[in-house]
Amino acid sequence: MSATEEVEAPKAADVEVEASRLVRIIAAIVLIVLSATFLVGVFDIRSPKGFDPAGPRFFPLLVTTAWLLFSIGYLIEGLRAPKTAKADGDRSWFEPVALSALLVLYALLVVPLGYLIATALLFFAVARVLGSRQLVRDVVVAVVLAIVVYVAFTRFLDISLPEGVLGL
Amino acid sequence: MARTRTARTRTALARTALVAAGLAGSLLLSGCSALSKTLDGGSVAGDFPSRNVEIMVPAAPGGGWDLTARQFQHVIQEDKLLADRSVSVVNVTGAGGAVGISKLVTKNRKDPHTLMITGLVMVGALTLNQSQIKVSDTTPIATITAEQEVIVVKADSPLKTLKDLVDLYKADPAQVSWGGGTIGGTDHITAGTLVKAANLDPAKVKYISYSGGGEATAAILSGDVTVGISGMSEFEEQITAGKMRVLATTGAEQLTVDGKKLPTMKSEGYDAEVQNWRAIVAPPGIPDADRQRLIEFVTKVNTSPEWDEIRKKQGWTEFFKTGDDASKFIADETTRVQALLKELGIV
Amino acid sequence: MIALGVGSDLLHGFGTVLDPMNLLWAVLGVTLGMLVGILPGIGPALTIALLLPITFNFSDPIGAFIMFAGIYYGAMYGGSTTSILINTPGESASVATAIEGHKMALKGRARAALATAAIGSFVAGTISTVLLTFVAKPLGSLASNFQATDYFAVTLLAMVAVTALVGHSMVRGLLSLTVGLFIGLIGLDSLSGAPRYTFGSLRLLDGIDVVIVIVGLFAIGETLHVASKLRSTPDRPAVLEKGRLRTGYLTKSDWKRSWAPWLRGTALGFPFGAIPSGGAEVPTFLSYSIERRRARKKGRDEFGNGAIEGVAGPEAANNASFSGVLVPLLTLGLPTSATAAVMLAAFQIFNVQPGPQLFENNSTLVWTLIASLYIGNLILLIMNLPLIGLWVQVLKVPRPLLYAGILVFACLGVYSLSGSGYEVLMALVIGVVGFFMRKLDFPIAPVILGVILGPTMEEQFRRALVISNGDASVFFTRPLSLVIIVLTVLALFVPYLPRIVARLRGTQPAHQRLTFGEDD
Repeated sequence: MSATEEVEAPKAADVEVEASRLVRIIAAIVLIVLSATFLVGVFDIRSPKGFDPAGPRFFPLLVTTAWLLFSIGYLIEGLRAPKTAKADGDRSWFEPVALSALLVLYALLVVPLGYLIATALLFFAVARVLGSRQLVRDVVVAVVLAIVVYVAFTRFLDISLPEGVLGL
Repeated sequence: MARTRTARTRTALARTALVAAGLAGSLLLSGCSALSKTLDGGSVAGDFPSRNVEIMVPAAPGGGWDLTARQFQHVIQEDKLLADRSVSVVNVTGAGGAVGISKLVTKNRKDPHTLMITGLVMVGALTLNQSQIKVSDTTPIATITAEQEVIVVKADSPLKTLKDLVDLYKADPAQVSWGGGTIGGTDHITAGTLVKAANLDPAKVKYISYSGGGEATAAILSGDVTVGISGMSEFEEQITAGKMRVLATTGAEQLTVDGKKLPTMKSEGYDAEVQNWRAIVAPPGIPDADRQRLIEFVTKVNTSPEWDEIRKKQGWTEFFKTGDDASKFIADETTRVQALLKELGIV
Repeated sequence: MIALGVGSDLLHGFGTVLDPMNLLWAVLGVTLGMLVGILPGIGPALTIALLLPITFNFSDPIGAFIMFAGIYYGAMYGGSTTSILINTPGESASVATAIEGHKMALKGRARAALATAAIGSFVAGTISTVLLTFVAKPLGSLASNFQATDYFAVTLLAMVAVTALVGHSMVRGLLSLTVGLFIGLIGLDSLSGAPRYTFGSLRLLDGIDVVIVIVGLFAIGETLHVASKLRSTPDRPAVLEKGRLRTGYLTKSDWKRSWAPWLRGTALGFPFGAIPSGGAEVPTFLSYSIERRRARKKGRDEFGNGAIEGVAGPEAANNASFSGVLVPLLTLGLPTSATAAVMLAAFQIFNVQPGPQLFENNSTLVWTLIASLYIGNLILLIMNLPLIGLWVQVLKVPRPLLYAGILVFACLGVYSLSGSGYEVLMALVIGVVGFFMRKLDFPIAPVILGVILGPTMEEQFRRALVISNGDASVFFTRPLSLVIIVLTVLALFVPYLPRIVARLRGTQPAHQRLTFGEDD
């Protein structure tokens, strides 16, 4: 135990629930809606013997019901929570949204553009979004990384990656 | 962010780490290129191959289709059958091959440089998924190999012959649990085919699917299921070791295992045959001339001594039909499997 | 088989494996394994599958198998490296390690975490190989007696035993678990062929690969989470603990706290590897839960905050499970995990059929393989202890580059699963879920547990019922199943006993629950 004291331990507040009460309630409602939808969806599963425990509907019924019940439990927990929960002020939404958008672009472009270009662009853009401001370093690392991965995978592991416009 | 000394040190470290990773990668690379033989050679006249060829495996690496494709690739490169063009294997996984074939018939339409491996399993999977696309929508080039299925019981089972099994099923279908691979796959089709050949109702087949031959073997040895069905290679060791008894194999020829000639469904009096065949197909809409060249090309692979050796090593039987013969065979199999899966009550 | 016979066979095996060429294969295998273990989504099974065609050119299968064993060990260790350093496990067997391991790294104890993982892997690998050497045959025949009801009982027991993973809040933990179970339901139902929750999409018919779930929840979810806090936390590398008197990066107290979890992890990993559908994941989660409960009993509250036991146990368990997996593979020809299935294919390529006769027919190969396990473990240790100093430098990579790299490798891992951008999108959706789970303090590990255990549990339950024609009594009439189910019930209620007893007596209980109670 002695070793743990010499470095900074995470503050209790960090471990605690970060989100404000409102976010929790919204999350609970989303969970309830999802689980209820899926519970109804159980009836769409093709099953000649209905809800026979050996058939394909029985487990989905159990799982979605449990999910719905726990979601309701979570909602109650959220409603009961003290209203003085700390605000979410120092959290930024820009970076996660931007990263998600980049990943969507990557998923769409990796085949047409090719692995090398798409990956180098992804690396560079992500590094920028995350606050890197060293242009030359970022470009060099992005290009080298993409090339090393591409060569290692296509030539050594025989996993094919999209060639794209370079046609390598 | 100010560029301080520490920042620069960090950058250097980052670079070092990445370079180290790169170095490790390229070291492995050079080690390997010594192993895998590269191809080169002169050129050959003709439209196909006018660029590099791709063999699509509509399943993950490691399975039967993948092995077939990679061995095919091996022979092509070894014998330089494509002259200065190379051949690569691409895995497109999903839904028992449905994702792969839909890519082939839509995106690769009219392109003779993309080939795909397919087989009986895909016919079943497409039927099960109620897919709009059928294997017969492609341009079949050739069927290449086939494997017999084998119907086994645990060594201490009271069932001694295929007739014992059929009789038990006749008396009470609920008494017989059939263990095998994926639902709607070759093993399931085999169970249905046998029951139908005995003029009994396939709808009552109590089929228990397992994720692979290993799991099925465990279920047979532990006595969980009454009868097991799989490819010969999955059960051969257990059969030689005397832990399983063969009731029948499903092909036309009688196989010999451990010096004993095995009965087939036909030799036991049930007029039916099931072969786990594999074929190589091209996208729809390719010019006739290219189709002809592809047939010649695949025939060249098929007749090479290397391919013969691989077949022997893997226990695959030659099952070579080309062009129209292959198309007709695949269309017939599709009709048969679709009807059978309906009778088995799974679609 | 008498011990003397085993000894001379094994010595002969060592003679073969110590050939310089074979040693080279072992080193190459371990290195390659570590590299793929670090990459999310590219596990040992895929690597071996892809290397199969290359080994086709080998004249002698022994070199190939030595390399494969090295790949497996290396991958298991490589996976734990990223789990500890950047909270992104590469595969399911390293998920349990991430829970405490990353907390340790945050506290500057990355070296100790990596060291206990490396030494633990070595200890567990060696002990379990000794077990493999001597008890392979009897244990193998036990595995072949397992029926569907027994598998179901074991899965149920595992599920109940790992409830400690639910974390701070029972409600949130169970929600995570049910979401994982739900993800496991998606796809074509393997027993009836009916599509479930596929929403008419062809891609969803195969279900969602556990690798996509892991990469999404951990690698992508973690990156989004870090990104959202970027402005409020300075970019400073984790402070690394300064040296004091220690051996192999571990202090005296670390050694004292690690050795018992290593042994317990081995004791869990080996048998679970040996039974079909056991694999490496379940024992790692079990080991984590057990260590946590023990720590709690002793009044240690460090779990959830970087407890070394939580790294030592699971790391030992995942290495030990490999020797376990080899038991049914070698003695019965039964592959019980994905890696084993690929290795079986490799055996068949070389015309070697594992099974009851393998020890007689291919004695040299088997004993060389076993000898190579001892050597592989040793090489892993020798290579890794010095490398720890290099690994921890990863923590000094500037955050933008580190996380950009994580995203690149995450995309690569999921892309290579199917060769389409679609999987990347799916991983992103799951990553966004992981991001919100972190924001709302939901535990992540139960999701993985649900995805892994759910389908097995359902399959075995339904298989048993179909075989018995719907008679549920089968779960209680087989002695083996009955014993395990009774154990499950005990595991479920024993923790609550003090409370129940107290209620019955009408007094206030001293503690709410014996073991896995937390501050909920």
